[in-house]
Amino acid sequence: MNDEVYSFALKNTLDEIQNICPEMKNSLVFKEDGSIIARDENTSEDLAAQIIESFNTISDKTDAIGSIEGITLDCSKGELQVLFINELYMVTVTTEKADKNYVDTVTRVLVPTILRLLEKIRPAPLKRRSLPKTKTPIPEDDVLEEDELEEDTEEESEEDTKDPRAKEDFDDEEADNEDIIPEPPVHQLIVENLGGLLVPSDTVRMDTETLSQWERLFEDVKIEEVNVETFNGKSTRCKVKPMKDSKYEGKGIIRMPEKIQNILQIRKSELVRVKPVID
Amino acid sequence: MSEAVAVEESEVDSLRQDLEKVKELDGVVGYILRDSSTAMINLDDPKKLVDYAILSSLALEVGDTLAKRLELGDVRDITLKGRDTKVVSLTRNETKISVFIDKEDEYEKILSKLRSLRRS
Repeated sequence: MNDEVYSFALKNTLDEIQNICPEMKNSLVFKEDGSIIARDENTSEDLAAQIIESFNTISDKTDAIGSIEGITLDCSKGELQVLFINELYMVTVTTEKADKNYVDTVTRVLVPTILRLLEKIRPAPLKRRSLPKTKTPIPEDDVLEEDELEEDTEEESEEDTKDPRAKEDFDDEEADNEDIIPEPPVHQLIVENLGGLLVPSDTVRMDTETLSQWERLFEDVKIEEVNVETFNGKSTRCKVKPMKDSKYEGKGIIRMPEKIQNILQIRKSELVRVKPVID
Repeated sequence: MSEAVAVEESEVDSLRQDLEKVKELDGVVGYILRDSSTAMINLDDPKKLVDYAILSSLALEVGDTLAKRLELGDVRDITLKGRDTKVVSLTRNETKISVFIDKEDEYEKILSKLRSLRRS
């Protein structure tokens, strides 16, 4: 998938988001260098350029607060949000009638998922691969399910055969990245309650398979802790153990005691990002 | 004339007192309050004063520009989310306020406090 197709796919995503969120006036995705990746139909190139210029004016001066990860402009007739997603900036402009939670859910869940999918099927991703696929496991920021991994491996093998240039690029990348430590993969999981008399309040429970995958990924390092982050930016580090109850296995669930839910200010059925802690 | 000045001074002073209370909240590392003639600053790390002052002024300026261009009406507040610190900037009458927060967990609480302060 070349850049043009990538942008086209992303533009369609933005247009579809606008269809399901009519209160969204504008949306735009751009890179850190200011180049536009995609914009919806309502956002002219001129408007996009002005928004990016304004953003850059601020981001040039943010050394004192750390690199800029987002902006929220709250106004009487609507809101502008800039979110940092997968090394890209996404801008949304909504009217005052917009249901902020709904828009947030759509943009913070759907867009990252689409971006990740696009990157997986794209031979030259925007994001640098962090690892070669054979010497040390898993090059991606996020981990695929096992069956997806198998599919990807097959796809990549086919691509390698068809396009020698792609293979050459990959080999170069491999050579460049040999010494890089894998970044912890991130999973998006649904919160399920975990209670009972003997349940420790500082421990979450996850799929045995996911924990095993992580342990294989980090060359048999035992995963004892995870970092759990909500889509509102709250995060906590807690202990992790495999699930005891098989009925929760393979369903993308993380079981969490009330205390941790309170810390994260979330409840059952909400989505969280989980990654292993590797010390 | 002198009465008008007295009223203005009193409003800034009242805002300063409110901001001193906000400054006591967990996660708040400082504030800058300024109008056309005065500036009141309380920062945990005074070395960052210049950078913070430039940033808060810029945030409000850019916020106004974007709000006009996007027809979003009056700016209520603008938050810059840095990796280490968040800056919430808002204007009350002619007085510009910026509050600096270094704890993610406390941000919503502090923002809500600032918004209620503005309405009071």
